[in-house]
Amino acid sequence: MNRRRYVFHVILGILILALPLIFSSTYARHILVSSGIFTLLCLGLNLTMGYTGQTPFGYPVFFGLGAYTTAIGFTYLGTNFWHGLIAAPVLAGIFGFLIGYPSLRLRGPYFAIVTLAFAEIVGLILNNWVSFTRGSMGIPGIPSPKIVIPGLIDFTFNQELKWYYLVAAICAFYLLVNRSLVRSYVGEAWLAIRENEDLAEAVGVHTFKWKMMAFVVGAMMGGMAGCVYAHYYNIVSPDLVGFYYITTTFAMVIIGGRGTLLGPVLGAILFTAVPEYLRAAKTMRLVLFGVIMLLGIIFMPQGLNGLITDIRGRLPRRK
Amino acid sequence: MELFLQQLVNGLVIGIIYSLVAIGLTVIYGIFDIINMTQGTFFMIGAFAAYFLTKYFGISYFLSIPLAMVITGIIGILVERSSVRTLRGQHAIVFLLSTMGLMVMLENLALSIWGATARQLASPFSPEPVVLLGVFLTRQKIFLFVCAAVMIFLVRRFIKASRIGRAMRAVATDQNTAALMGIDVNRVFIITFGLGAALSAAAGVLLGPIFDIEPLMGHLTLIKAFIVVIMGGMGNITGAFYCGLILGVAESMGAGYIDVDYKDAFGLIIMILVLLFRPQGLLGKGGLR
Repeated sequence: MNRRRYVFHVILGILILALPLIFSSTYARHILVSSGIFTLLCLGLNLTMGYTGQTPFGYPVFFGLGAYTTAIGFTYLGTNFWHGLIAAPVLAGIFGFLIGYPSLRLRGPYFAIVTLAFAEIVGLILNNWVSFTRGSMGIPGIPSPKIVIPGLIDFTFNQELKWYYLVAAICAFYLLVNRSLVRSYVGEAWLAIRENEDLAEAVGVHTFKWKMMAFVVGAMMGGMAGCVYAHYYNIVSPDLVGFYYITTTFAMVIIGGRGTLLGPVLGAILFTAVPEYLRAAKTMRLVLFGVIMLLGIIFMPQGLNGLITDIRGRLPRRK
Repeated sequence: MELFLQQLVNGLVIGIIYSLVAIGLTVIYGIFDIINMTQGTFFMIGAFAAYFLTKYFGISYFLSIPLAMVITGIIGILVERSSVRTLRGQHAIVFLLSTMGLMVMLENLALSIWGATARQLASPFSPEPVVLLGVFLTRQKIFLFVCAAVMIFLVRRFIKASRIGRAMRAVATDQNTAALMGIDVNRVFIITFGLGAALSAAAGVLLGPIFDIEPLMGHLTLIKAFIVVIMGGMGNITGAFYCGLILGVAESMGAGYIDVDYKDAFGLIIMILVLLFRPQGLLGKGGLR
């Protein structure tokens, strides 16, 4: 069993590394990179939504904050991608704490809506503080990351192929963090909270602390995803905290499978690739997302990952 | 003083619209224990229904109000059947997500059919303002306020005194016991959702001639209705009525005296403060009242 698992992982790894070589057009690679960025976002969301069972509607606010951190840092201080990669999650984490501190005391729908309210406020500020954020015009011209060691290396991430491996590496890092958190006692506390918060509290789980941890780590992941987004697309705008990202990420995590390690990855890839393949316009794409989200919740509450586990469980087992 | 009065009146006019949508939301919450994300969509559908009825079918604005309410009410019932009843017994979050999926679907469908262009519902009243104590008011605004107030009064009477209203309150208190006492719970569900949708649609039609109509107009309304429902206490109709007016006035004052760009932020901040310090709402406890 263990050896089969090992082989499976190796094959998966090779497949992931070879994917952009199989789909070699610039367009296909672009889709791969953008699904990778969505994967980052969804993995962060999944911590709070999947493992602690809370629903932060305003989650993309951290994505926007991360993107704006690096964009503003570049515009006013001349920082680069690598600074942003550190600063964005730190700032998003601080905001995660500030937003989480009041709102994590609330539960269920209240929590969902208060986080949405915070996202709306941030959106209003990004839109209206024109002298600082350029308002709805956004901040363009964010440069691609570079690795420069004078005399040795001069490498720019200017092609989709290079970006793919960068994003894949960050995805792998996220998955590792998620996996080690979920498999430790932290994950057990989260699951206890998700299954029955009152009971968890009654048996001595410090629910607020653990929920806060999931929220802040998720926020940091969202912030880092925002930084990657900003440097890949070279532009940020207040849309990043808007309804489009809320809908998309939630649909991805739900369809992929809440509270599973690979579910959000599946959801993100599927939801980026399929609408692109269908060449759907943005509005029709959202119609599709809405339908899939609704049907997914009704007919496939465990998501794709649950479906796969289900099918695997029904296959005849070889010793 | 004149600015104050003018902002107060403007705030009350927009506030009663918030009350109307929020009452729809709060009634549905009271019965189903769910938050219906499509409430803002009903607002948009009602406004569009009235727009097409008056423009292409030659129906007068006054008749289009009940017609739009009926159409949206039917859509509301379909929403209940499709994405609420199928999930009965599940966690509240599941409904939040399922109605959100529906909201995204309906709004973007509207967007791809009708486009993002802003339309305006023709008002049957002359645009000439009426001046009262130095306050400028259009006849449409007066009609809006009176009509909305009458509707809210009727809904309250309906839930307090009518047979179905009593059944609704019974279901809100305890669904199973109500069913045991011979109340047709499914009928109550349908009526509640239809009523909630119709109220939202009425708000859309009443506001249509004052603001623009466009497919995404429901977003902000939904958030405002949430704020009102949370301020007033979940499921509390009287609370929703007063808090809608309070929110409208607060926003209008904030826009007049502080900063018009951050008008929408005041409500959000009020909501966050209410949730932190008085989570049961400003006017006591929830429960369908």
